[in-house]
Amino acid sequence: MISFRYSYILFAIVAMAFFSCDKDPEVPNEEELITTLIYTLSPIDSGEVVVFSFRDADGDGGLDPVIVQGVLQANTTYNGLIQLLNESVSPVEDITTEVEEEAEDHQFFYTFSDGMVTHTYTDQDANGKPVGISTRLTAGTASQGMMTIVLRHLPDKTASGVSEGDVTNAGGETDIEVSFLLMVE
Amino acid sequence: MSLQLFLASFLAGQECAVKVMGQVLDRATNEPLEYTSVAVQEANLYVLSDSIGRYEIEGLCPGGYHLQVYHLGCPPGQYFFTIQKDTILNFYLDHHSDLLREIIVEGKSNSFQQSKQQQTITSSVIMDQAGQTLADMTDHIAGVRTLRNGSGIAKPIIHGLYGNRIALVNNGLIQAGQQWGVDHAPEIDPNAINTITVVKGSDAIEYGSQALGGALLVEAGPINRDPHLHGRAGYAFTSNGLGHTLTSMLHSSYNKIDWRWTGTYKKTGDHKAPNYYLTNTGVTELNTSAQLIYRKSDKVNHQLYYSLFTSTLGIFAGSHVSNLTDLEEAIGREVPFRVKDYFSYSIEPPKQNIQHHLLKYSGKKYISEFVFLEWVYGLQADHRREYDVRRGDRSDIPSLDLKLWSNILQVKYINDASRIKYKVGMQANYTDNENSYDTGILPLIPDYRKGTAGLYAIAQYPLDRWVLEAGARYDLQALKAWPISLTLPREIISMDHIFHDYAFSGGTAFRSPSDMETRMQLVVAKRSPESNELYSNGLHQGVAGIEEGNWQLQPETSFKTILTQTFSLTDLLHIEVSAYAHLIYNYIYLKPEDELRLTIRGAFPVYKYTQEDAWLRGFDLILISDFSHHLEWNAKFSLTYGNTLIEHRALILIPPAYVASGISWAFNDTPVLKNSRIAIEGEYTATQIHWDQESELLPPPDDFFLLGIRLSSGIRLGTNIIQAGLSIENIFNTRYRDYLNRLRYFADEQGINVRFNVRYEF
Repeated sequence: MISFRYSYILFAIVAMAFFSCDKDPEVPNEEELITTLIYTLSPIDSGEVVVFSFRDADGDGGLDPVIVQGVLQANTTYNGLIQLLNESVSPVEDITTEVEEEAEDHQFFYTFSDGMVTHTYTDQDANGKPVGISTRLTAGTASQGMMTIVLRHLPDKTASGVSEGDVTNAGGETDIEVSFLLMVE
Repeated sequence: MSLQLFLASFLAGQECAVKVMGQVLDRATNEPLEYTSVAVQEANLYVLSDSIGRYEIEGLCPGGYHLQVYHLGCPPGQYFFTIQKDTILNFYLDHHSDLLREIIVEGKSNSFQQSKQQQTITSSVIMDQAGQTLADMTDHIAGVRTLRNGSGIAKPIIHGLYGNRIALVNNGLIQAGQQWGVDHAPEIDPNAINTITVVKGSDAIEYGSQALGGALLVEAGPINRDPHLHGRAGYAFTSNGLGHTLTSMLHSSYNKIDWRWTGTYKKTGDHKAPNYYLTNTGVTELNTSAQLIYRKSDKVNHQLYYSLFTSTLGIFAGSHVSNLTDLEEAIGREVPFRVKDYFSYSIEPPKQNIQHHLLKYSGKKYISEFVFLEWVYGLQADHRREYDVRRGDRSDIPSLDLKLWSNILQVKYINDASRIKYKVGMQANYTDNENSYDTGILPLIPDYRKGTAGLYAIAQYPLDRWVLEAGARYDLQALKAWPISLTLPREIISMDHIFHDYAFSGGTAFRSPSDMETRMQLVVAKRSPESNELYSNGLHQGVAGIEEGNWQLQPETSFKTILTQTFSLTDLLHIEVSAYAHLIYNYIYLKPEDELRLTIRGAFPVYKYTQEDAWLRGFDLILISDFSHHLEWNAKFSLTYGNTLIEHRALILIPPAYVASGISWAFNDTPVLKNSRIAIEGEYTATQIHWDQESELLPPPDDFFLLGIRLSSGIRLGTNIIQAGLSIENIFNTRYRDYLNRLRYFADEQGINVRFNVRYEF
């Protein structure tokens, strides 16, 4: 029958096409990825610098993230500074500058367990709204609780409470959301 | 409307004494249609068919004639014939097509469709719905529902299955788009096609394992052999989204060459839910197609077909959430985030940009009248770019940039002349999928290459009132994929898979003396996992979940049986009832994992592709009643269940119970207005009560009822027709959410929509 003659040709074409050349895909350069958040708290007066960090060098999958948590001194005021890194590329990239450049479109939000610390923004974007890369934090009495740091992209900074650091009405897209165990002693 | 032609030679015609006669029949029921007008334009003659649908026109001179066939309640049709001698022309009209937008079952014109469970939407219905998506057009068929991702992205669900389990067959070629995702719509322009056929039984024998759950066949169809230039120009407006659609088609024949061209332009802005705009849901489409048929001889013809589909569509702004916290905030809101209080045509990220080229060459050689060989080569190129809201001016760089090349070679041989009719064929397919690495994001699915080679045979044995059918198929599939490692340093891993797929089918059809028809089909088919099921990896933005492929997946084995009964109670009520059961061993699905995954963007639920035995079952019911030539009533009902066998977990996105009913009135023709009709349709969708708490973020939405009305009429200007229609959808501007819309967590469905369409046919 006619069709059987074609079958050999077809199978030959498929086999040839399939095994003839190999593909050589590249790994994309994940320049936008944030792998690391470092929150450094330096006491205004004297004292030890406290560092909180969340590091997930290989991104969403793969190995689990590494979390470092610090201990704050009671009744002490700290200057807080956020640093964002992409450690999946070499050399390591500083993403904080990207956020600074688009300060109007970004805001960090800090939430603490009730009454543990008081917290204020000490920076502003071009519209006079807070960004939250630098902050000031005063620890209360000895206690234990949680601290959550959120970075929103394209939040509505004019919405009620947002400029005061309340994330509820901010909307936008979450670029970062990490929680730390917080101890004040 | 379609037409079947029997050329028979009687006496050699004398000068201007040629006779044309035949019968006009209802294509759905095969009943004769009386009072059908058959007009010969050139001779300025017209006759009406008698009580058994017969007509006769005498005294024609040999030559070319335009014949217009017209029956109350049917879309008019025009054909060109060169008549040399006495000729029999039988016309089959789609008498039931308007309101139900489908015909019951055809099956007679092609012997290879007897036991298939399928329904066809014809060109006039497609044209009346200009501006709608392909899936919207099939949504009205019993057993078919639409899976949506906002307003512009829609794909069909057939008997509870979609995506990788439904084959989209575009002019005989399996559509090679990125149709695996819920947010990927078929890249097909409805204006370029003449018929849409939904195969509800499995069509795995002819199209391979992708058609395990059913198939959608779209065809540009044959071109009228008419030496004059004919065509149509249409415009459609939708009030919701202020959409404008321009469609055009031209066709003609010259000597041995028939050609057709189509073009479509569509622009829609933000759709509107009853209480707010669905910001960023606009669509822009620009499509064209060209078809060329060269009739080398009576026995051999060659055909060339090209189509281009380009589309840019916005994803609803309020659906863009990036982790569980965002999602929880977004789903409780009265008004979604990021909706604007004004209308706009602008399309911002998140958005999709799609380009799909299809080039097909096919040749056909008739060995005798009912025996032919067909060979086809098809090339498809698909370029999909998806844009997200990104940091640092990167929103212009696509987050996903996929290029897909597909080559298909097909040969088939059909013998319709022997006692046992048969069809044998082979298909070879080679697909290359490539990511662009400029996205700066790990790809959702890796680069891959896939080669398939398959052989199939279908035999059919007509026996008095019975038809018996059996088929078998084998496919060899080789898949080579290059996923990227999840750990550092990032590495390309090379993976190979070889799969053997097979399918067997058996079917029977029986027509009783009282025209009761029973059809039964059983299909056993194996489907190999697709590359997204094996290797997808990443965050699914809209549902805030991480999806993980599983490269150890094995092929799934499916057993689908479907039983359909068509009968009439007196002459008044026509009924089609269809029941099906579909058992799938090793059913591949996304199973929610127990723990949340901690990432720098927060915690995410993880969904992993898993295999477990599952089964789906349900039934469809269609009722049609012609009370008179004027009044028609119809109703349909669909019910589907699906769950896994061991854990009894309800499958996601199974359509809830659905019932729709409509009534239409066809007006008497006036000298100016022809084919005028008014129709009212109500549809009720129940709430999905079978759902799995772990797989769904929210309980399924409440039930809802929608009412629509449509008015249509045709104006005859000499030999040309202006066809116009006005319809109102969701008349009461009902607020509702659809379980089958992925954006149901965030926003209501669109509200009232007034659609107006007009087209000029010449």
